Amino acid sequence: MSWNGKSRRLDKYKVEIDQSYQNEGMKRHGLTMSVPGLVYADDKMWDTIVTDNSPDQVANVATLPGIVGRSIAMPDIHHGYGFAIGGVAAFDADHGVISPGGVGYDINCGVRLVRTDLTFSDIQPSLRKLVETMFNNVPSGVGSSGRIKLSDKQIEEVLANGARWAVSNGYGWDEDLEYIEERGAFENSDPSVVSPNARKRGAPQLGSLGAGNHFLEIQQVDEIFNPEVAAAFGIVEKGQITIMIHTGSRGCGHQICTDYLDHMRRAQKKYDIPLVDRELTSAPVASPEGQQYYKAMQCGANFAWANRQMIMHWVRESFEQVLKQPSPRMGMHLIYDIAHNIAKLEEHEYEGRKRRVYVHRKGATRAFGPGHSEIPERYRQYGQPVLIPGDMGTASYLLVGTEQAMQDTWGSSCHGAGRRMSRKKSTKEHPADKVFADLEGRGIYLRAKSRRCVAEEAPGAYKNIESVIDISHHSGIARRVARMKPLGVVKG
Amino acid sequence: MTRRFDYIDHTADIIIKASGDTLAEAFAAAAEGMFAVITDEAEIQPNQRETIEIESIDREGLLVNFLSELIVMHEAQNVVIGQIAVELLSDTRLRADLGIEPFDDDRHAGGSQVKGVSYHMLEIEDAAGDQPAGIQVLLDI
Repeated sequence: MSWNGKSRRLDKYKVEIDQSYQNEGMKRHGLTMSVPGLVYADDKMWDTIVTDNSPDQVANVATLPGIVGRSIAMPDIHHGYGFAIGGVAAFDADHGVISPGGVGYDINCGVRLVRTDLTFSDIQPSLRKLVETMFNNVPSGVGSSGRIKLSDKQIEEVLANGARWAVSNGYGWDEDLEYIEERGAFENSDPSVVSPNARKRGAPQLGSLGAGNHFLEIQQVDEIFNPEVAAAFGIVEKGQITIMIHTGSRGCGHQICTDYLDHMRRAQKKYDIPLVDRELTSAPVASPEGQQYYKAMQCGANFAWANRQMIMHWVRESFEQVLKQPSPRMGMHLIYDIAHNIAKLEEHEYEGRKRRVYVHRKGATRAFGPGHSEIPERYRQYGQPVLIPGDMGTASYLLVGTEQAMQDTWGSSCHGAGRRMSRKKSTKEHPADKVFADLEGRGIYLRAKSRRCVAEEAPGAYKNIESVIDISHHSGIARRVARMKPLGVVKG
Repeated sequence: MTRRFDYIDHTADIIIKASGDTLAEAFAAAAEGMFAVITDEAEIQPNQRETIEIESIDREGLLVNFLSELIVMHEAQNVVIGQIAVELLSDTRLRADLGIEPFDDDRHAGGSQVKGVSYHMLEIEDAAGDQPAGIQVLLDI
C-alpha cells in the first residue's frame, strides 16, 4: 500500500499535500481539508513516508475546525493513531479545537541532555560500571516502580509543581530549573482535573524509565558543527562526555490521555465536530472539556518533568559513586530538557499579526529561534537547544532553533529517527544476541531489562537519523550544533 | 468455546486481532492478547479472582474502557491478569471476571509496556453465520 494522493514538491526538502485532496474517509464523512498539508521530506524520505499512509493522517488533521496555517509533518513522520507521529498543528485559541490524540498517550515524553567536563579517556575504564550503576539506580522496564511511592499529598504536589517539586525535595540543583522547557512546570496548573486512576498509575512510577524506546545513554561528542553555539550550550570539545535521558509521564500521562479521550467522546454530540478518525476526538479549546483537558495535560507534563529530574539526579549520583567525585566538580550541568509530545498556548506572528494558537506537537520538538523570551538567558541570542535522540547504535544530535522555524513551523522541528520497521519484523530480523554483539563491536555497552525490548528497539528498526537531521538543517527549521555517539546504553 | 488472538504489523505500535464464537469471547480474547504483549502469557497463573463492571457510550468505547481499566489494575496494583471471562450486559455495559496474580519480576518482566488503547483502526464485528465475532484494536506501545 503506497500513498498516492494529490501533492507537489515545493523545494528539495518540502512536499505540499494539496488542499483539494480528499481520501475515502473524508469523502464518507463529507469532510474537506481547510488548509494544505506540509511534509518536510526530500525525495528519498518521501519514498519511505508514502509506504505507511501517514500523509493521509496529515490530511485528516487539516479537516479539524480552527486549524491555522498548514497541517505540518516533520521528516521523521510515521503512522500513528489519529495524528501521525511527527505532526505539528496549530489551532486558533478562540475558535479552534484541542485534541488529546494530537499530543499522544505519553504526555511530555521528552529528552534531557547533561554535559560534563569529563572526556572519553576519563570514563573508558569505568564505562561498564557506570552503565551497571545507572541500571541499578534508575528503575526500568515493564512493572517498574520508582524508588519512592508517593502519598496522595505528594502526587498532588508533583502534578502541580513538576520538576520544582523534585528540586525542592533534594533531587537536583536549583539552576536545573532554568534549563527546562517551562522551567520544569506549567504555572497555575490544576490537579483537581486529574482522575484517581491517573494518580494511582502515576504514584508508584515516578522516577522510573519505563520500557519501549525510552533510554539512558552515556555519549561522547563526536562532531561539533557550530563551535560558537556549542560553547554557549557547554559543548567545547570532541570526546566530551554527555548523558541523554529519554522518557515521559509514565502511567500518569497515559491515563490522562485515556480519560480525556473518553470525556471528549461523551461531549462529541454536544459540539458536533465531524471526525474522519475517532482518535482525532477533539473539543473546542474554549469549552469546559477543552480547558479541562489542557489543564490535565499540563499536570501530566509536570509529572514528566519531575520524572526526568529525579532520574537525572540518580544519574549524577551514579557518576559520583563510580568516579568518586562530586557531580558539580565533574561539571554535570543540565544543557536543556524538551518535550516532544505536548500542546501549548503560544503567541506567534502569522500573516503579519499576532495570533494566539494551541500548538500540538506530537513527536515534534519546540525549536524557538533567537531572542525568544522562553529561552534561557544564556542561550537566548542563539536560539533554543533542540535535542534529537537517535537509535541506540548510531548518534544523537544537538541542534538550535531558528527564525525560519518561527515563520514556517510554529517554532518546531523533528524529534528523533522515527521507526521504519514494526516491532514484529524487527524481532525477526534483529535477535537480541545479535544486537548486543553488533553494539559491542561498535564499542557500545548495552544493559537492558528485557531481551524482547532489545530486539524490538534494534538500530535497524529506525530510519537513518542523518537524513532526518539533514532535512531539518537544510530546510532551516533547526541548525546542527553537535553530534553525540553512544558509549553506554540503559534500556527497559 | 473458541477464542484466538494474533497480531498484525504496524510501524510503531501493535494491532491485536481477536476472535471468539461470541462477541463476549472476542472481548476476552482481546484482553488476553493485550496481556500477552505485557508479559509471557504462559507465566500468568492467577491465584485470586475479581469482578469488574465497565460502561461507556457505545460498543467501541466499552472495549476501550475495558482494556484501559485492565491497564490501570496492572499498573496501580502491580498485577498481571488472565483467565478472563466477559459477559456483555448490553452494548454499553459489561461485567468481567478476572484471574489476577501479583507481578513477579522474575517471571513477568521482559514484555512491552502498553501506554494506551486507541480508537484508531478499531473494528468490532458480531458473529454472523460461520464467521466468528472479531475485534481489531491498536495498542500504543
